Amino acid sequence: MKLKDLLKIAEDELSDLSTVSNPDFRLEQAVKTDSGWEIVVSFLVENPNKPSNPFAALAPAFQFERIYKKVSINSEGEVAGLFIYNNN
Amino acid sequence: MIIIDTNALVVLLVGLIDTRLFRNHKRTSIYDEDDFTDLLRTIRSLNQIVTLPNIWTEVDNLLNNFSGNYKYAYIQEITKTIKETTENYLASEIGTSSPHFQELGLTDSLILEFAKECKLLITSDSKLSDHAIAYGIPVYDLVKVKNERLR
Repeated sequence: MKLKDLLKIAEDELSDLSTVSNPDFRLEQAVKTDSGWEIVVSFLVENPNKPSNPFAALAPAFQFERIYKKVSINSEGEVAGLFIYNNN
Repeated sequence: MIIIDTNALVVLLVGLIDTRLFRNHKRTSIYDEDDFTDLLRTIRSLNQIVTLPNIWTEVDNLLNNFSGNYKYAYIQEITKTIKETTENYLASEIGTSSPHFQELGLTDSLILEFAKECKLLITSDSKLSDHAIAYGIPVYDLVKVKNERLR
């Protein structure tokens, strides 16, 4: 499976998670495993914490934030798992 | 002056050692020889590069687990690259005072601050790139370039 195929599979699976018109969907990592691939993708979502975050007075109020997800894809090209991923 | 972030510097060093290693390291796993060539073309000369001590510490923490011949190659390349580039010190307090510290952490907050004085930020960190672009900082974003190539 090529990287562009992995990106397409993840984007098709996760596109509903963002309401942003251009979510800037990106493949960040792609590691081959015994059962397929583990990839990390990122995309922009609307920043839900902007109005109520207690740090809002300190932080710049960006309209969007980038979130990361780890996705397991099996050898048939199917999404087998979707996980929280901390980019730090 | 060009400032380069941790992940992009990892790509540079791994590429200088052997581009075939890109697939073995999760931080470089999406890159190939073409991406490395484009990175070198963007940098042009190592003596244009400015880093921070925090960046080198993170890079070494990520790459110091090479073994065998690659360990020796890594030591050679990081030593040579540190010698040819410039290192600037920014106090950690500048990072923790940044409004981006909560989101980006110490090193990236310092990079963002220092990048305001540079002609270019080279990064392989999408979140740092987003923040830099929001401030009008010129960015060469390896992840963005790679993903444009994949489409």
